[in-house]
Parts: sequence; structure tokens; C-alpha cells
Amino acid sequence: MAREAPEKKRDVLVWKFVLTYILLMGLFVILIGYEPVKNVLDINGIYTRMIVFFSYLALKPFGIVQGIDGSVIMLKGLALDVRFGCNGLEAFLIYSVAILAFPTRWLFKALGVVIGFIVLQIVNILRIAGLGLTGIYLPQYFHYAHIYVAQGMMIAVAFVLFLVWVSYASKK
Amino acid sequence: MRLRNRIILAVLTFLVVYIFSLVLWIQVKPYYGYGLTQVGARLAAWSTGVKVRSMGLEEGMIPVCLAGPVLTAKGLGELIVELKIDASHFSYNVPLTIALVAGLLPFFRWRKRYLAEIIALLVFVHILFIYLFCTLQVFYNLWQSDTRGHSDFVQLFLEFMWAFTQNLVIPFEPFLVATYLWLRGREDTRSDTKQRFGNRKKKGKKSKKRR
Repeated sequence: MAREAPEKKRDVLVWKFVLTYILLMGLFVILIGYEPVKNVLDINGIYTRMIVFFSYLALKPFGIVQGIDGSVIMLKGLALDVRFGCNGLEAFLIYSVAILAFPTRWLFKALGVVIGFIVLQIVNILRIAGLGLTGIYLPQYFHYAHIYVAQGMMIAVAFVLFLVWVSYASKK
Repeated sequence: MRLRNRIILAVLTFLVVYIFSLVLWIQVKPYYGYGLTQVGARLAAWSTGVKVRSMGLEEGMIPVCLAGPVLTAKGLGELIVELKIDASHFSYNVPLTIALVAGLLPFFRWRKRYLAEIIALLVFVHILFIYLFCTLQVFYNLWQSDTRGHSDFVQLFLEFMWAFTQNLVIPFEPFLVATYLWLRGREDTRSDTKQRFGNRKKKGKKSKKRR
């Protein structure tokens, strides 16, 4: 009996985190995908254009980039369409929502979100640039690099960042 | 083991398990997808009032034919929806999920209950993906064929669930699963430490009293 009580309390804590996480994610889906909200402020569009521009700058020194058009980066013999799913917005969302759902001080949460945003964007721009280079120089491996390496990389980085943040917030 | 050694071991475990599970999963994936489609497509057929006419496995893809009688403005007709389900679309993250969980092993040991919970959750999410995909396709086809009884609320609900599952659950299932297991492991470790520490304190107090 004595051991059951703290176990239940732990269950409640974990499930509270999971439910807060799901609720916040639902809210973000509405903010990003709901048409009336999109008509006022297209977060995904603005974010994608920002990522496309920085990826273009990252690829420029290699002399393979021809220009950008909306969400598309035009390379020599290849066009990279950076859509929702490739722009890193979900990686940032999933990371931020995990931080917001975690019970700690708001100052640490704000710090975690800001630093995480910068790190994830740098990783994402390098990832898109890496995919562009793979598409040009190693086209036979592009599919595998895109599906199995590049996507996983963002998730693994977001997860490790979250763990680092939690250990920092817990120590403080 | 020191923390630095644990981190190195975790990274190595992650990389080895990822490569191994990726190779294995590419072989297993079509059969797994076929098994789950049997459940998901039948559930979708049942809830939309049609029947599964055929289902197969062709070059890693799962062709599904859903059919049933429908009442349109012109009278009674037959609705036939042919779909192709690619198991990669909902299960491409399984190797990464396995690798991330394996990467946490140097830090935690979980109870079987927690592992069973995440396996059940993964299978549920994959079935949900197939169910929503099939249901939405039937729904759109019914709408196009001018069938009576179209509901805006049902459409909104299905589209929201589909967007949520496709964009924010499937791509991030490794993150969700690893975070869940990590939280479980962390809470267990904390409570174990508290219990041990508490027992030591109690023992200490008892021995002081004896003196």
C-alpha cells in the first residue's frame, strides 16, 4: 500500500506531462494549419521562406545554387522543395512543447526555447545544405539520406537538446 | 559507470542499433504494414458502411479496394475506392525509435509494463494512420459522388485528426516514445534513490537510538 501511493503519484505526473504535450501540440496544429489563422498570419510560410533563404546562403559558396523561388531552392539539375516537414518547424514545435509541458520555472523554459530554436535552425540549415550536396554529387543516395538520415537527425538532435535542457533545469 | 562513459556507450549503441534495425526493418516493413492494414482498413470500412473487397501485397505496397452501395441524388449506386498504402509512410521512423530507446539503455532499465505501453501506443498510432487515410478517402469519394448525408463537422474532425497524426505524431514518434521512457526511467530512478536514502536515514536513526 505504502509503495502504491508514490507510484500512482508518478503515474499522474507522467500522464500530466503527456496530456499537456498533446493539448499544446493540438493548439499549435490549429495555429499553423487552420485556414482563418493562416489568412491572418502564415507562420509556416514565413518560417519556410526564412529557412530557404539561409539554406541558399549556406549552399552559395559551393557554386551549385541558381536561385530561390518561394519554398524551392533551385540547384544545378535539382530543385529542393522545402515543405512543412522539411523546414524544421515541427522539430522546433515538438521540442518547445516538451519544454513548455515540463514542470519548471518559466525563465528556464524561455531560455530553453530560445537556445533550442537557434541550435535547431543551424542543424536544419546544415541538413538542407547537406541534402542539396548529396542530390548533386551522390544522387543515388539522396532518397536514403532524405528519408532515413536527414529526418532522423532532426529528431535525435531535438531529443538530445531536450535532455540537456532538462538536466540543466533540474540542477538549477 | 562514469557519466562520460555512459554517454559514449549510449551514442555507440544508438548508431549500431540504428544501422542494424534499419536493415532489418526494410525487410519486415511490408508484412507489418499488411498486417496493420488488415485491421485499419477493415475498421475504416466498418465505420463508413462499405466493405473491403480486396487487399494484397505488391512490391512493398498494399493495394486496398473498398466498395459498397451508396444512395446518391440520382438513386442507388456503388462506390468503389481503390487505394495504395505504403507502409513506409507511417512506419519509416520505427528503426530510429528502436535506436533511441536502445541508446537510453545505459542510463535506465524499464519495467516490462512501460515497454508494452509504448509498443501498444506505436501500433495504435500506425493503425490510426491507416484508418484515417482510408476513412478520409471514402469520405471524399462519397462527397464527390453527391451522396446524401455529408457532415461538415465530421469532415473537420477527420481532417484535423489526419493533419495531427500525419504531421505531428508519425514524424515525431521516436521523440515521443524516447521522452516518455526517459521520464518513466527518471521517475523510477528518483523514487529508488529516495527509498534507499530514506532507508539509510531510518537505519541511522535506529542505530543512534541503540547507542
